[in-house]
Amino acid sequence: MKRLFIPFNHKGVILLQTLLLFFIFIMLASSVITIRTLELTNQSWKLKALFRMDLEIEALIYYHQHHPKHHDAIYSKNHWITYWYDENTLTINFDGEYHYNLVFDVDDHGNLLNRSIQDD
Amino acid sequence: MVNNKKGTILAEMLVGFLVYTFVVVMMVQLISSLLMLIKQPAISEFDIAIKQVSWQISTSNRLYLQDTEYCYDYHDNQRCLTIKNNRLYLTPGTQIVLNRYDSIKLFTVDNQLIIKASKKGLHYEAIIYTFQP
Repeated sequence: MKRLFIPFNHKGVILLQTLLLFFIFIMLASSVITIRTLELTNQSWKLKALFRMDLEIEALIYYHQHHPKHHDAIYSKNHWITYWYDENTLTINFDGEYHYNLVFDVDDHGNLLNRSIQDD
Repeated sequence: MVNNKKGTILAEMLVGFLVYTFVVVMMVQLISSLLMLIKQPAISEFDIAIKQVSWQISTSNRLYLQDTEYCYDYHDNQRCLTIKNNRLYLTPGTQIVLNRYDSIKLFTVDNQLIIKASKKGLHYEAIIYTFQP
């Protein structure tokens, strides 16, 4: 009957054991590094998304409270936020770390509809 | 090292013990690092969900109380914040904003609509909207 396992006193057992330990250690370390990197990237993306939302909330609240005129601009969170009107369209331009236009259709009651994003 | 010298086995055992201790300590560190990921992240789903609601409200910047619910206009629709079965919904429809919380409470303090929630012993609080004075 064949042996299923190498006996402990067999030659090469310590080497095999060391290699196995080394392999497990490297696999664990690399998986930890990979997962931590992914987690950090995820956190960074979340922060960026929240920052952009904060920026847009501030721009929209300013629009509703102060009714800025065409080409009026405010400076917030290291961004210039400029309001552009074109017939029934409101374009809010963000200029800073992020460059993009937030575009809305404006109805007769001044409500903002159909949000869309345009790259600057 | 000469194998039949006295103290050889002791020295080898000590070295082996040291190496194993180092490996075990490192593995514990790595495993605890992995377990840290399961813990509450810095930015929770609560923050993101509430920020999305705040963003939607800012589109019209008008939040009002209708019956017992806080409602706002978003694009062509009216949306209301409804708490039922410890979930925060956006109605009409059943868009779940916060799900499976132990408790959710909406209240106003100093012209601010505040939401408080708790889940698995963790407490969350955020300002949804600031009313115009």
